[in-house]
Amino acid sequence: MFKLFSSVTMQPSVLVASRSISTCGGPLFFRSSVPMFAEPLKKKKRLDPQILKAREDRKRKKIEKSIRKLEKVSKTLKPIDEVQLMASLSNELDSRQRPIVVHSNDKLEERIVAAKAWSMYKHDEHFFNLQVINDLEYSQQRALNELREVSEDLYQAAVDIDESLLTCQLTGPVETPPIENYQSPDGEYIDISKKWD
Amino acid sequence: MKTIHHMIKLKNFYRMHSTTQVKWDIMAGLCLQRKPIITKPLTDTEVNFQNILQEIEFEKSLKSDHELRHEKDVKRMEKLKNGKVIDFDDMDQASNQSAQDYVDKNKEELLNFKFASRLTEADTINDTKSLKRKLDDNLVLIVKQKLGHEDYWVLPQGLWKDGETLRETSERILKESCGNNINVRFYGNAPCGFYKYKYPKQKREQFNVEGAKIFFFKAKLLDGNVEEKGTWTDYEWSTVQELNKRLIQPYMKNVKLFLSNYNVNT
Repeated sequence: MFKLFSSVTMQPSVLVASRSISTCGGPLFFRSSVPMFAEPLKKKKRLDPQILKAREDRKRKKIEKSIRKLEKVSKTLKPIDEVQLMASLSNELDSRQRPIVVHSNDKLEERIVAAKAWSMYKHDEHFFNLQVINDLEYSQQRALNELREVSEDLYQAAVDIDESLLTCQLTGPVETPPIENYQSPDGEYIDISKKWD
Repeated sequence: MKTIHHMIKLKNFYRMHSTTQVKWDIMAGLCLQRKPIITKPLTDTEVNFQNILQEIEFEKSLKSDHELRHEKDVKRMEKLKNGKVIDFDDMDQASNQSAQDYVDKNKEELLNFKFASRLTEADTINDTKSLKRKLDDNLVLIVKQKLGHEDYWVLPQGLWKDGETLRETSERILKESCGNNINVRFYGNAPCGFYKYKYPKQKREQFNVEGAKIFFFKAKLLDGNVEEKGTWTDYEWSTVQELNKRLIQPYMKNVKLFLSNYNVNT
C-alpha cells in the first residue's frame, strides 16, 4: 500500500532524522516567516470620487492659468523708448514745426563746396591711413624675416601669441586734460533704470 | 607668396654657404610711447563742415520742449505788458522759473567750472623731459647713448643675451634705462621694426663683428616716469617732428616706418 501512494509516505529516514531538520533555534518544525512580523494592513480610506475629481480639476486649472500668464508675458515686448513716439508728441507735431528757411544760392553753393572739400579731405585721410598701415606691416614683416635668418628659436618666440593683450583696455583721448586732485562734488545716486519682469 | 618664400630660402642658402662667416650683434630697441591724452585741435575744414552739418541738422529738427516753454513765457510777458487780465493758472506759472532763467542758471554753472588748460606749464617752458608736454601728440622716449666715440640720440637699446627672447631683452632694457618706477604695456612679442648698421672698420677687425642688428619693440607708457640712470647721458620725450632733428638720417627713416601717427605733412 505504501508503495502505491509513495507521495504520502514518510520515508523512514525522514522520521529518524526529524529531530535534526529544524531550520532555526526555535521549537521543532515551527517556522517563523516574514509575514509574521508585519503589522496588520490599515483599512484603506475611501474618498468620495467627486471630491477627488474636484481636486484634480483645481490642480489642472492652476497650471493652465500659469501657462496662460506666461504666454501673455512672452507676447509683450520690452518697449524701446527711442523708437516709440510718445502719443503727446504726435499731437503737438504742428506746433513743433520750425519756419522753413529758404537759402540764397550763394549759401547753397557754399555748402556744396564745403561738402566737396570734406570728401577730398576724408579721401586724403583714408589714403594716408592706408599708407601708414602699409608701412607698419612692411616694417614688422621685414623685422620678422630678418629675425628668422638670425635664429629660428627667436623667431618662434616672437610670433607667439601674447595672451595678456586679450584683456587690454584702451581709453581714448579727451577734450580737456583731467584736473589734478579734483574732488568731484557730492551728489545722490539715483538709479533710474527700469526693471522688467 | 611662393616667390617670397623662394627668395627667403635662396637668401638663407647664400648666407649659410658664404665663404666668410660674418657675425652680427643682436640688439633689442625699445620704442616707448606716451599716447596722446587730449584730442588734436580740429582743422579748418573740419570746423567748417561741422558748423554746416549743425546748421542743416537744426533746420530739419522739430522744436524741443524747452523751446516751446520759452515761447510760452514770451507770450505771457507780452500779455502782462499789455495789461490784460491773467487767469490764476498763469499767475501760478509766472512765479515759477522761466525757460530763460533756466538757461542763465546753467550757463553760470558752466562758467564757474574751470576746465584744465590744454596747454600745460611744460609746454610754455618747453620742458622736454616732462610727460605733461604736448598732450595732444604722441611722445617717444629717446636717449643720448655713447656709441663708439660719439654720443647719438637713439631709442633705448641693448645687447641680446643668450637664453632670453628678444621681448625679454627689451623688458630688461626698460628696467636698465628707465628704472623700476615705470609701468608699460608691450605691444605683443613680435618686433615692429628693424635696423642694422656696420661698426667702424677698426672695431670690425678687432672683435670680428660686422655690426649690429636692432629689433625694435613697441610699448605704451601706463604710468611712472624715467629715473636718472647711468646707461645714458640725456633723455627726452619728443614728438615725431622733433625726432627728425634728433635722430640721424638712415636710422630715422627706419624708425619712422613703425611710428604710426606722424602727420600728413611731416
